[in-house]
Amino acid sequence: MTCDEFRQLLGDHLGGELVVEVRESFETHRVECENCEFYLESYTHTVKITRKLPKCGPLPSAVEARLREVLKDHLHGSG
Amino acid sequence: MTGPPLPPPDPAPPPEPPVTPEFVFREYAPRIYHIARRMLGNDADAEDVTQDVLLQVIRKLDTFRGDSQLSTWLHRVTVNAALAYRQKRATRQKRETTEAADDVLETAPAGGPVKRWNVGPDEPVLAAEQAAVIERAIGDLPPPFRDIYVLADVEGLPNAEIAEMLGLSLPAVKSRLHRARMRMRDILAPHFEGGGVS
Repeated sequence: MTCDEFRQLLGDHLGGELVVEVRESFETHRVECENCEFYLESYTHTVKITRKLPKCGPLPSAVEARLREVLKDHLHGSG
Repeated sequence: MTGPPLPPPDPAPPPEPPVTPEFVFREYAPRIYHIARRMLGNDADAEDVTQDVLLQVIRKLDTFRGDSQLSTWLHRVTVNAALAYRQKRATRQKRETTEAADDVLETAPAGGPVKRWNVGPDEPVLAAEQAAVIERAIGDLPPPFRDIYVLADVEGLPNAEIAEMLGLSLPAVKSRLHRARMRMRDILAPHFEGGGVS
């Protein structure tokens, strides 16, 4: 397996979708190639820290005020 | 004359809160705004999209039976509204850059030296400066890749759902997600190689 082929499999590796034979070649390359081992670590870490981003936060107060002004008839009109 | 008292019946599940326009605004406006802002990379555009989505939702409130059904629908409406907004803006500015970038995303070639990242202990919450670096990196992704990255790795949606939402095949979603992750890795690498986030 080449380094390029190894990289192309990272998504499937992360998703646990590598078939057994491919996974064996993948792991063999990983053990033998320090660059790919480091690349895999950093690729995995990239995904991991992105998943820790807050999905949401408060609306900026100016945005909330403008939206409430624009939508006031709808917000108070019914319900 | 009377037997032992009967045990009380199982309590009914608490009713879902009434879905009023004010409830929708309070519960969903922040979520809509943040998805749109990450997809569009622009605060003002995100505000326009949030307004558009809230109007759509409030006008159709009668057709929803409860909060859970509404939540699912909102994701889809927000993504569609953000995509439509971007397309309208691109047409207005006569730019076709997003189409040209659909299948091209350069990443560092394999074979060169790779430095190990200094990531430190695993913390459950990101430090503010780390979060800011990642948000900026997401903003640097070309739109077709950014959409998928945001929906998959920030919002946590399954690839199949993203494919349906964006009208793409599953292999196309997986391929773009993989390339987006590689690009994100490249953008973040200088911040994590050696000394952590700088």
